Amino acid sequence: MIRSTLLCRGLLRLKLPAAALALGAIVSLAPAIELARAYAEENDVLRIRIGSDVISFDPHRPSTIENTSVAVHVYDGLFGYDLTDMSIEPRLAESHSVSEDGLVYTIKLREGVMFHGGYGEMTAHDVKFSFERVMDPEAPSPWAKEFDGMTIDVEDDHTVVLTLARPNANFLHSLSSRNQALILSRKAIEEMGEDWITNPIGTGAYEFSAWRPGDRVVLAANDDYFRGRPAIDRLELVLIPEETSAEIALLNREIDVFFALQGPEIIERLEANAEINVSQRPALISCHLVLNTTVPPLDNVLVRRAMAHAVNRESLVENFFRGTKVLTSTPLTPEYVEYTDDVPQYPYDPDKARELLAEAGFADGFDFRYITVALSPYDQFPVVVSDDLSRVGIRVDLTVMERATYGAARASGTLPSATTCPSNSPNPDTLLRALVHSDGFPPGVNTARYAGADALLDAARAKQDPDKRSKLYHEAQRQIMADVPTIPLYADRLFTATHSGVEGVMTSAAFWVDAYGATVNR
Amino acid sequence: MLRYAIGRLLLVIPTIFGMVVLAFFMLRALPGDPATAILGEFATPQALERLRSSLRLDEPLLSQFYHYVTGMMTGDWGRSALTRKPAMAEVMSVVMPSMALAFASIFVAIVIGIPVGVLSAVKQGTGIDYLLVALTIIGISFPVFWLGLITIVVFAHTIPLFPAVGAGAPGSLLSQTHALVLPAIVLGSGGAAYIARLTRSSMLEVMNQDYILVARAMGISESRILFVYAMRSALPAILSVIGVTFAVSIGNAILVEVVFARPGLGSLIIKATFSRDYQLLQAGLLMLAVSVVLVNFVIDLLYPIIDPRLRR
Amino acid sequence: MTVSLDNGPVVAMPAWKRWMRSPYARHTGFLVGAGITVLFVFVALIGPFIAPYDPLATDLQNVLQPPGGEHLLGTDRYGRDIASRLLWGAQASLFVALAVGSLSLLFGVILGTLAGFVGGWTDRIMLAVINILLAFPGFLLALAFVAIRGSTLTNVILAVTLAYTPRVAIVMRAVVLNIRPRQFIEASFAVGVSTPTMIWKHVLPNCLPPVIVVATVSAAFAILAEAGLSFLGLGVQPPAPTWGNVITDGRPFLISDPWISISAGACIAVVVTGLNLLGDGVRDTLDPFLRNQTGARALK
Repeated sequence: MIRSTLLCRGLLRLKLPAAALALGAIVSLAPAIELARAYAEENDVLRIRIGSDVISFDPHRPSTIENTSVAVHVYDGLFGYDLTDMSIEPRLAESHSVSEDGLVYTIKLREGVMFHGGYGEMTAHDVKFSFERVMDPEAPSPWAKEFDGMTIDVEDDHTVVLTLARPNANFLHSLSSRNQALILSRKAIEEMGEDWITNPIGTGAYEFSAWRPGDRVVLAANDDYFRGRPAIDRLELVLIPEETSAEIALLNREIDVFFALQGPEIIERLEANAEINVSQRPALISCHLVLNTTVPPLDNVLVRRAMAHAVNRESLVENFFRGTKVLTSTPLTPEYVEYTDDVPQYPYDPDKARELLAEAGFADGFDFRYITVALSPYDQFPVVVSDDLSRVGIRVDLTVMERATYGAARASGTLPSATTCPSNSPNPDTLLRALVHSDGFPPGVNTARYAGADALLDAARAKQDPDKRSKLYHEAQRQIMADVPTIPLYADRLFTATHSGVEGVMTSAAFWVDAYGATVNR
Repeated sequence: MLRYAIGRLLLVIPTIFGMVVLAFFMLRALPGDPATAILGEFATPQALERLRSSLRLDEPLLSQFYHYVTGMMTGDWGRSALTRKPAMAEVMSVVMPSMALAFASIFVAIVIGIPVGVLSAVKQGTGIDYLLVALTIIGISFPVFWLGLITIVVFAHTIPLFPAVGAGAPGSLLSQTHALVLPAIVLGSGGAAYIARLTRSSMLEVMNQDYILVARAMGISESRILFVYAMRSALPAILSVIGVTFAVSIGNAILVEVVFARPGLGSLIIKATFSRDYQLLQAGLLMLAVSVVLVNFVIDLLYPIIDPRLRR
Repeated sequence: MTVSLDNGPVVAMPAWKRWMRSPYARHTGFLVGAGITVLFVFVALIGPFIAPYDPLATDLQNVLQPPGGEHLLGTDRYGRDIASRLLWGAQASLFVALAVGSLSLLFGVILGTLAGFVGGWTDRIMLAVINILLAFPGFLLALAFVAIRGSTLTNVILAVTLAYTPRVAIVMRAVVLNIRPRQFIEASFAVGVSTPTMIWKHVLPNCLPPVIVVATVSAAFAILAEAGLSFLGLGVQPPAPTWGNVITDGRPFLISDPWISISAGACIAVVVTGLNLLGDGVRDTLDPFLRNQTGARALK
């Protein structure tokens, strides 16, 4: 008894300094919290949340929305999109003219545009270098088909002549994209070798400043930007994969802009918050259940139509996505000028689906491997879709593959199905050619192995007259939806939440964020 | 002492080499083609071929291994297939936040674990003891990422004291320390529980030894007995559990880094796994494993210092 | 030999009475742990029969229902009944825990005995390999394995087994080395008992309890690892009902509908606590020498 009290006292004596230490720690922590807050409220910096890490600063390589979001600030193209209406406007180009036959584009470049980091003036040689790099037969960019065998001639330092192999009415789109159309510095790449990829040099509004993998990309304002210096000194693209964490970070002002927001519940909560503005815009991305038309029983069009009838897409959009996505009747989204509703429709009708299955000889259903990728939300909505399919007797084996495995498996072209959400460009040809044209595989994502609309798509691309071109695209969409090589599940919408003091952050319908015109008023 | 240290070091080198071998061959067994993973599905066969040959993927495994090992000896750990940045540089750029987290969590574990263990031992058989023992068992039973999620909601959202994510602003030590608090506590809680349990049992064992009874009979103050004599004998066991805790922390740090969206070796390894970035993955795995080996090496060196019986 | 529970002098006493006198019956932690474990096994076995709903059936009209009412623990974002998913999930967790526990025990005992008994270079090489494996954090090893082999229940089990076998093996080796020089082993050799017989009859029974402690810990770790892998998207694939998947499904709703993740996390915590208590109870009643030998390593 006495022993234990003694011990206690001994312990207490020793615990006192410990307690003092703990108290000290807490007291010294308080200013730390204040300081961190102060740091977060710095005026000259804008922090934007991105959902996955940037992989590459080479814009000619496969793009993710994060890569593109960095690229649009660092680089510029000859043309670009006005993000308010996605119309095309000249950027590094000053003017251009097209020959009668639509084959020769003569482009006059803006003079006096300087590359970052003292790499000199941007000239026609850089344009030639950049485009030839895209088309390099040894290691072509995935976007090389956009340039389709064109030749590039430098007339003088500020004039470049592009000669197409065949007419392409969408060519200005190809020169406006934020992938293949961005202009790199020839001098920088030649001098830096492989190191340039993590030290990108462009002519854009922001210069690359630092990248900490798994954390953030830091960009600094380009004082000499030809469209005028941006108002905000520093841009930080902060990686926060999880949306709940990003929401908390936004509320705590750890970030100013919550880009590419998906969760319907989070959208609803943030919309209800007076300090937060949630903006939305229709995007040019549609998501598909791709059906391999060379694999039985999916090679039977009746089976594919039955599956289209079996999926309750209205419920998916309304109840699962809570109206944050929209329905689309074709692989294009309603945002495309060339979109049409006048195509074969597949309303939700399980009885019809069963009838069609019976007609095709699968009255007892069949085994179907639904393959998707372990990325939110592509590993989520297929749960609902497979449940729909199983209700008409299709025995679904849902396989969620981890990213790299999925990519490799899909590239094999032998998977019975795939979950694919293509595009990134207002050019309808880019999307349709990738998804449902035989140019789209191999390599590519036309894992439906569908070629039924090739002729119509080729004809549409060659047509100069916009009305006639649109008609051909309508025709192509009708053909595609009659054959259902893919079931278009939904068209995406892009949500962005910002603090009320932040103005002018633009997002593109092709899913990237552009903070050039942004201002912060805290 | 020096001989002891050299002997230990000689054991460390083959272990590290073994890890290099293991990491290399284990990773080559990953399915999925790195070239496709890097170039995407639009890549043409020529481009894939070129990349494969630049990554030496077309060479026999043993030749790849030879180049890998010789490269490592000369400090060339290869380039990340994805960013073309030297793998070593990329690993180094995230080593600091990772190590900060690992050591902060060990610090938390020690600072909480040892006093709790001592208190529990001193109060053996009382309600406090039972409570603490129960807590230490429950403490290691929660999934660490779940604990992290709950902590974020409570201490970054409900009571917004700490940042929810990230490792703090680059260049600001205060902001980095601030961002370290929650992850370190979450990661350290398991270690604290282990250390507390082991401290308790070691102390109990020591407290019944004759020399403690003698010391007590001689009238030496109880706190001195406790913290000078008893603790000293219990320390080697506690030290060994710290080594173990460090290894566990390194594993769990992967989850904690993902939960708190912290840059670090864990998130780097996850990213490299997903993108089949062999060089980066190897460099990251080795850095982690080597750090475990080195920490255990240091602990081995500490044994003879704290335990005179081993000094021979 | 206090280690030996089965080989002690046989006293004519009913089994339950003998048990009541054993130190286990007086160890609160052991009793609680055993209780939780038995309950867990029971629930896992009958779970699929008492689950009120199909754990996979989505119902988009009833998403994110709060607990109470028609759904005891509410529904997730697909309208699936969480209680049913947890009941089914118990089965997956039991399977993982049981498989990992017994597989790591089996391989660990074989390897450890081999290393400890054969000695010499076999021992040295095996020890080196084990040490290399031990230097890789267990979770990291499991993660790499699943990345290599793909995310299935079998692979998660093999992965965690791979991570834990060296731990069992090293404890087994230590115990074997400790028992080998003892007199009764020497004596058996002297009377010409063959090595396999001796291992089977004398070494194994004396080694098992401390090794079982490690196996219990590895079973507990297996449940945590399954959840951790699911969290990283490398675990058993959704929509399969596992506790890890339920936590992960609930992650986006931690602020608005926290019960999803909390209920699954609580299930894991309770079962893992039970297994840990069980392991502790066994260890506490063992020879103190063995406790020291195994303590530090077994904690991993």
